[in-house]
Amino acid sequence: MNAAYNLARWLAGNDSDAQDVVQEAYLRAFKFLGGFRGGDSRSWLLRIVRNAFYDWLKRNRREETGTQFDEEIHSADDETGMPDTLLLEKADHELMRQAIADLPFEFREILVLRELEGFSYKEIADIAELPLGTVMSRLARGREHLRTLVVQRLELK
Amino acid sequence: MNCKETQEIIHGYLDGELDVAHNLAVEQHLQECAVCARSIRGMQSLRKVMSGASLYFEAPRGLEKRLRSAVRQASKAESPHWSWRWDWRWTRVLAPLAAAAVVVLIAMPLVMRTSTEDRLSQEIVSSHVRSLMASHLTDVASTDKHTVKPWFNGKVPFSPPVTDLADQAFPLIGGRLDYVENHPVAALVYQHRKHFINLFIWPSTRTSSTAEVPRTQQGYNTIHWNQGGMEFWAASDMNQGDLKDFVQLLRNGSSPPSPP
Repeated sequence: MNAAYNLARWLAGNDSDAQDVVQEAYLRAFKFLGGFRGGDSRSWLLRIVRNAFYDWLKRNRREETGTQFDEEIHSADDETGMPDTLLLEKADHELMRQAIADLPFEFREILVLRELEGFSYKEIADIAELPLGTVMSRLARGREHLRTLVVQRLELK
Repeated sequence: MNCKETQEIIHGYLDGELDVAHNLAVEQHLQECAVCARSIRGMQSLRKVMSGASLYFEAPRGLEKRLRSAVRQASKAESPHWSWRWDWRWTRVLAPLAAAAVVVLIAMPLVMRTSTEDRLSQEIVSSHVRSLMASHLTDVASTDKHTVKPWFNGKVPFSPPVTDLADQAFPLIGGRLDYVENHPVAALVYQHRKHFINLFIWPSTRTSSTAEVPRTQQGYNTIHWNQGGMEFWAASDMNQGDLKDFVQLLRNGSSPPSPP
């Protein structure tokens, strides 16, 4: 249940919506129990949570698809900048939380499943119903985006 | 491997999702290329910061109760004859709830342990391959256990049990200092016909002995076990059956480790 809530909370962005999504997912899980054919029940439940979230999103926030990401602007710095290893380590909880929340959904969900839940690429591919290659490239781009966002926020401080 | 190729798989490297060959290729490139090495350090710090920032949202207290009552209501609405069907439905609903709870509370440490062990196995195989590639198989070349064992004095903070199995067709050919999970470990090198076996040894945090766990990775076999307060990892390109024989001989022949 914690994993279900954690994913829903990161996607929905607040507690109350996250609880709605988890409840919807559990109701679906209950209805479709017949569709559960063994395997990892945790992945299965998270797949339902994820689908429940995207349906909920369609109903409630038609126009919003997560922060649009301007790759041109966001990937401009880096190569010549200061070594951001030291800089990054100054990021605190609140800054990290906001930076992750600013990522578009498709990167955010993969990062949460990988970094916070510790799923393997294969398990993530299973949950997000994506090819393995897409999981890898989204994780790569997600981390790049996140690093850029964190560095920008740190520099603004 | 060039920078572009490295950048494409560098996340797989970070996540321990690469096979040995790619792992080695990335490691080699990182030693040669400062730009890629910097970029991976950046990613490593990012991951470190992410894991250290307690970003996990625990489910709030009331949620479980809320879910239970929602599911109960749904089951009532769905089935008017719930008096007899309810129990059955409820069991099926409770099953994933319980399963999820079990997974989180009990199985997760096991799962994580498994993936840690897989990663470790990967690292052992990498070390094994590296020792053969770099023609740096032994630091001390000797078939005499009374030469090999004292050689580790002062190099590792423990005294590895050294058994010679020359009579059983697994002659000891030397020892080497190696690093596994950033700790110095003892590596004993044995030979069996044309095959080399690396036996990695370091002190264990577990007190009880464990059975052998065989794994196969990219054509290399590893066997991990725990005995007499030491972790043992044997790695070789030998077939799993021969490696098992080797491990059996060691386990039967190895005396308890002497104090450092």
